[in-house]
Amino acid sequence: MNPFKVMLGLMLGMRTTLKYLFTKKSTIDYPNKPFPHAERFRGVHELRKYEDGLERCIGCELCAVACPANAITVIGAENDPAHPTSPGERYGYRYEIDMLRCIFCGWCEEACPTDAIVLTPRFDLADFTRERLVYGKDKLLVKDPFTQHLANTESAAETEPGRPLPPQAQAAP
Amino acid sequence: MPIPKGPGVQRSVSPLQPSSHRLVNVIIDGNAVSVPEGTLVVEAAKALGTSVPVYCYHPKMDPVGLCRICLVEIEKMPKLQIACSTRVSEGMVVHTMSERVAEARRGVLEFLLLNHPLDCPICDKGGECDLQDFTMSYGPGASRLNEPKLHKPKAVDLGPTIVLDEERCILCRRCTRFDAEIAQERNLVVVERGHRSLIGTENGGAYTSYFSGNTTEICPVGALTSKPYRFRSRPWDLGHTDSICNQCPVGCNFRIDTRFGRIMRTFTRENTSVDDGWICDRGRYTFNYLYQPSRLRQPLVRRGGEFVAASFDEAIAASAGPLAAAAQTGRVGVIGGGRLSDEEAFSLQRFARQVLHTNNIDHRAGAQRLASPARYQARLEDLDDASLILIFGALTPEQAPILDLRLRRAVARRHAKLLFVGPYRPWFAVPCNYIEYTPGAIGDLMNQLSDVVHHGREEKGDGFVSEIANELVGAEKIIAIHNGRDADAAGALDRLMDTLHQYDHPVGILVVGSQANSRGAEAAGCIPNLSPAYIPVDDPGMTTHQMLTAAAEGKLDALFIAGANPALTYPDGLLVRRALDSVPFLAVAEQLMTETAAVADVVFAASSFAEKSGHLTNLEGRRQAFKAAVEPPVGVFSDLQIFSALASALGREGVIAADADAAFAQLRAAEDLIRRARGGQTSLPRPQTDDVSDLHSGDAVDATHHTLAIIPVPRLYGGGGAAAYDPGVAPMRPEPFAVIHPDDAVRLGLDSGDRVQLSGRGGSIEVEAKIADQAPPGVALVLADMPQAPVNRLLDASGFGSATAQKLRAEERLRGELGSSSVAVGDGYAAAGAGV
Ligand code: SF4
Ligand code: SF4
Ligand code: SF4
Ligand code: SF4
Ligand code: FES
Repeated sequence: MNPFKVMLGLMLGMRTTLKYLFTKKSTIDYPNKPFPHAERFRGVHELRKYEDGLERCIGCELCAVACPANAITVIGAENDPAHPTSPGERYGYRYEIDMLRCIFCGWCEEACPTDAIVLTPRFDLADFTRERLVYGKDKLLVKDPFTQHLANTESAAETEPGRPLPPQAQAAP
Repeated sequence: MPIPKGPGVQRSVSPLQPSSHRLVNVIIDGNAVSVPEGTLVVEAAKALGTSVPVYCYHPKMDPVGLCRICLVEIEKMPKLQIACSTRVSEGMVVHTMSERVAEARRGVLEFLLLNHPLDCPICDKGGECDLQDFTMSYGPGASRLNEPKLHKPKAVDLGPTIVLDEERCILCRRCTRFDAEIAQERNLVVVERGHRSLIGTENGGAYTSYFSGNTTEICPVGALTSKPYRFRSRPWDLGHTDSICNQCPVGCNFRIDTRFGRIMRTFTRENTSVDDGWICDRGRYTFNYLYQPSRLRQPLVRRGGEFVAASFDEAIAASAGPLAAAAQTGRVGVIGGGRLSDEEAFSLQRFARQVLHTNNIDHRAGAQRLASPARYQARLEDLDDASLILIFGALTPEQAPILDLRLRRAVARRHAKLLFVGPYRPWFAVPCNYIEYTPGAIGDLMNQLSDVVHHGREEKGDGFVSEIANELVGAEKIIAIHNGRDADAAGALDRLMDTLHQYDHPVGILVVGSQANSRGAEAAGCIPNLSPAYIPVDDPGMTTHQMLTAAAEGKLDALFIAGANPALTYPDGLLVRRALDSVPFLAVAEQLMTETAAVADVVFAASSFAEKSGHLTNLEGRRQAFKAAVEPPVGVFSDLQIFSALASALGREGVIAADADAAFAQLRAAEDLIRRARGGQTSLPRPQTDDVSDLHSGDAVDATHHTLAIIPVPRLYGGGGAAAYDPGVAPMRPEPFAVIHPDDAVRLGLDSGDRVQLSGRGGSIEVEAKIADQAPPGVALVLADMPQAPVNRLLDASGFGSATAQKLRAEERLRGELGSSSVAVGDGYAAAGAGV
């Protein structure tokens, strides 16, 4: 066995070690600092609204039937014409996703005819009970239509000709 | 009849409406088939397993050739032909999948979709829609329409059960043809012309047919949808269970569709011999009562005058003592069976006979006394080719609606004669000859007819008796329908049928009862003088009437009532009230807090037809199985479990099977034994009946100014059963009314719509007066079995009675009504005015 060859191998290995000693660290201070994800990462869902505050979901159950993991339960109901929940005749009265079953494939998003259900880059799902991981409308529905995540809000709104923009949106610069 | 497909195999099929029985050979897509001459191409293709798309064609209705989706290529014909209206001929060669056909279908679909809304995600038909399916299979991929779509009214309130979306309608006219051809009502029509066409009603009002729900099924798109099912579920969510409707004695087959363990809707399940593919709205919509707060969900025991909730075991324990004591002395009675399944009715009589050791068991909780004819049992299908249909007493549109559809078809299509003998002019959708006859005298009429038929023309009776006799003699096939209330008349009818039978007329009898399974209960032995399968017993017990009389006189110590509500349905209301008040111990098994359960000492919460399995026997004696679709609520037990637990508590463990299959095996064993013993005997022994002719007061009306004879009349959505508690049926439920002849109205100073108080032997009721000459002079036709106005207060055991009528003045009415309801009445008039 040639001792020089052994030394050379060791030195080459140390070179890699030394190189990484001076490059930027990839470890992050995770819970304290956010971990950035790609815009199209498929994480926890959100149920979106139109700019006028009406829910997009029409309770059609197409997401539920598209879901390969059977994770979605939807029950539709008829809108009260005086106080509609969504535009049109029907809305999602109950909407639940079992996050324990979901495989984050995004097929629900694909199936939805109104772009109501979308997957967001949020991924931190850990919790202490199974029940709390069945997300209902309380957890899924966005509070404010203007802070909802997806960037293509405008393009989706464009597909709805004749829907007036709400006053806040007109006033915004 | 599904026939497997295979190339080049010769097959024969039963024809739809064959013009002859000659078979012709046809080749469809290369496969040969022989079908009767005159078969439609679409049916011939079906026989080969080839489906040709159709919209306007429906196998139960005449082809009209409206929609053109069914175009096929037939060799030697230059143009494409519509498969739904072209009949096959010898040597015809048909192509259903050629390029020309595909092109034509694409074109038709493009036109249909031109103005069709993009509603699929919110459309109740989505998932089972022919427009979706055929577009996927044959349609163009994309629309070429750049202009805005035509808009029409959406979510139109067509009637109490139907929502109409005019935009989705493809104008196939199946619904209007159903209403005209099948229901013979002609109220649903297409209004306007061309692209403005809309579906509407002829009279501009609501679409209130008893059969309206069927249009939501036959509508190939989501234009007609049902209100109770609106947005409840999607087709792919539903679990299906085969069941039998238990709302009337016809026993239509249907399917119960469930989701999350709850019934969402019911759907027809065609049985050509029974329902021909239709169900009525009462059967279709009566299931939401299961989920109402009024549903009994646990047993109740009366302690210190009040009901307290109890466990099942407590309720059994509370009943065992009094029942055992009464059984010791033989002072015990059992009423019920007509609303139970066959095995439950069998177990109930077994409970009475083998556990309580009494023959005091009777299923008859109303005025009906017989549930089957002794001979000449007809089948429902016999109505199809009958030439004379003779009805007495039974109001088939209200009591057996799906039977009435057959009758309507026979009269309208085959020109059968319809003859109604009864005390008032009935309502039928088809022309009907009416012979006025007082109820007690129908037996005499039958006997006279029998004589005239037998002795030929020389010995003629009254003018119209010989007229009817001529009709009978001239008729090829005669079907008689009665309501089983008059045992003497039924006996006379049997003799008349015997006579006609001697002269080679095919004859048949149907008994239309008031409870869904009266026939099954009678055959299972819920009759004091008959054990299962009509075997007479040695010492007959008491009938319902005798039991109630004994109870009222303090000669009965305990009464057990299962699935019956005599307090409302038994004709002699006064007697029932006295009986139920004076019997020391009353136990009731019920689904709902009925008038009878309300006065009981122990109430068992019983499961509904959808929560148990079993069999029902319909009015033609056909036994049909139904399966449990959902679980009963905790604390609710099936009638079988209740009987079985009671038997165990009375020390007769194992006598009553707690499970439906075992009980059915016991019933079958009893029947087999008896069938062998009976041999070829054909005429059934008759149930014991009470002689009520002396009680009969229908014709003995006091001629003073304010007295009217009372005849109760049934209405489909009336009555006090499950339908009375069902929110789905609630919009159709009539208010209590009395139909009074115009002459009487003048005499009593009544106008249509007035409130009138009728006072009789057992109290008084308040009803709305309707003035019409359907009622003969001196008679008030009062809606039967309404909990708000129980007509049995006015009746005696014969089922008829008399009452003094008094108009209620406005201030008396207002006291009884809430202010808001009179406002609603005003609004209703305004709406009706706007509609005209
Ligand atoms: S992401 Fe996939 S698995 Fe998860 S809910 Fe949507 S369809 Fe179902
Ligand atoms: S989220 Fe979309 S697909 Fe799912 S029910 Fe609502 S509208 Fe339909
Ligand atoms: S009728 Fe059929 S095609 Fe039309 S919206 Fe409804 S489901 Fe879709
Ligand atoms: S409502 Fe339905 S059944 Fe009636 S014409 Fe329109 S599409 Fe046909
Ligand atoms: S189905 Fe043949 S024309 Fe409509």
